Amino acid sequence: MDRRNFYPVFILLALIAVWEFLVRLFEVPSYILPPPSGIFQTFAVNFSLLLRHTLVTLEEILLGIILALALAFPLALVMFFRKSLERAFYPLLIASQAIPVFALAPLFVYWFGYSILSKVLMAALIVFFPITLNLLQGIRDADRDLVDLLWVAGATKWQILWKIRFPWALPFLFAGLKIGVSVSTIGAVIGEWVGSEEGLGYLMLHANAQLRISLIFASILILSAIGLALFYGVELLERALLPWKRRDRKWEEKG
Amino acid sequence: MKLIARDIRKEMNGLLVLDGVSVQLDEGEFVTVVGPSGCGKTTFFNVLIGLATYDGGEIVYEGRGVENLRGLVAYMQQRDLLLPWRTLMGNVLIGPEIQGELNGETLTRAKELLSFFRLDSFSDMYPSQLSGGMRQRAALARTLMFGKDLLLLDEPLSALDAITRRKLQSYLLALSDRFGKSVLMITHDVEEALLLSDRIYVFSALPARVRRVIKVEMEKPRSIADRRFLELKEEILDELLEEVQNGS
Repeated sequence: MDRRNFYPVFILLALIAVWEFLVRLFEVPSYILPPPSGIFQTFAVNFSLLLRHTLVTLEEILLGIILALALAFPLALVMFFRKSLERAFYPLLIASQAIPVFALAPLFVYWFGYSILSKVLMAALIVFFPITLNLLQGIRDADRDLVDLLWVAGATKWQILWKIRFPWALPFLFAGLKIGVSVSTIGAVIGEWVGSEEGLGYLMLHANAQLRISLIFASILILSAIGLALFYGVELLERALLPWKRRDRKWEEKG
Repeated sequence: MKLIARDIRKEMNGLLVLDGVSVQLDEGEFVTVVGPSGCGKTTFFNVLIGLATYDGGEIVYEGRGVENLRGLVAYMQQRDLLLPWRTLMGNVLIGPEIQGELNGETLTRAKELLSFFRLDSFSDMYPSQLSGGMRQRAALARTLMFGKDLLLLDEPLSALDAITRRKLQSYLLALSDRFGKSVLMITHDVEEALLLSDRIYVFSALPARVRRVIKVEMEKPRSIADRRFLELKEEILDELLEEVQNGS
């Protein structure tokens, strides 16, 4: 293991060890704070149960992210090309973030029912904002001189959009996507808390009612794992799609 | 006449920037514009290519009056402006791409050009991996790939160090000598202007007027140690110095 990976893993293991030690030392009852070993045991025993609910939540999150992306592109484009529409939409966009998702969850469940739709919408609402704003900023931020270069050559505004502004905006889009996906779990879980029959949020509510605290911890662990996996997944995708961003040694000319 | 810009006038925020500038360019001719810095040379170029409006005068391209040269000219700046997300080959092909002419023929031409500019072994590299001189050569190749007869170059070598610059000047010479292009170039380097140009326009300080047109009748390639060369260089430098002193 190289040095870069060593520290995060070491810190994590150390924290788990301290947790285990303190719980045993002070004999904390497991319905208050279970020791890590207890949580891992719960994991093993309830594996299929956890897996079933994890898949539900994961589906909600992924669909939410896809929906957010599908909405972000046309909206960012419309706001870029029509200043008046930007002025109209921008405050709404901000307002959509000013309203706490917690407040919207009961409404969404009321409107769209216990089905997956209300949770997908909750996740999408959270992810949508950073993606759209970053995409818009990236499209706008494109180097003026590059745009002029193609314009002078006679390129249409769509060619300029496609060949200059979109590629320019990609790193911005990925930055927004990373912020979005790492908080996407929040939307889905809140949606499940308010009204659902499956998913990790639902499981946590039930575990709570039955004082199965270690099951709650196991769910939280899975949720953070999902957030991490999504974040690094986006990062991998970024590295694959934006090879020019990788820093290589410069070629020095000889002779 | 390839290009005639006649009596171009432009005001910016109530300040006269171009005071009736007239420049013309023959087919296959290499013409440079020199002038004190901040004299409006780049504004003049921007008027020609359509990036700036103008208040008077006319632009005639191949005998017909045009609003500006957008779509008729290939344009290049001091910054190489290579697209960082494209390889050198991808950059060189942007011209044919936006013209809808990406085919075997343009691909072959792109390869030939890259090899002429000694970049063939770097065609799959990204601009960030290359040195300044290589990037500027790639920008030259791309400028040629736009397939226009007329090139407008705005201080194309100014960002380079002296030695790289000297090496690239021979490539600039090839634009007219080998590729038969008509070239209008801005430079602040009098020596460079004398090495490359058939004629030199000396601009005045702000507001820009054509102070003098010098026909350089020496065989190319020229030597900077030539007596006639040195005389002309002194002459132009004196004129520029005078303008700077008048201007400030």
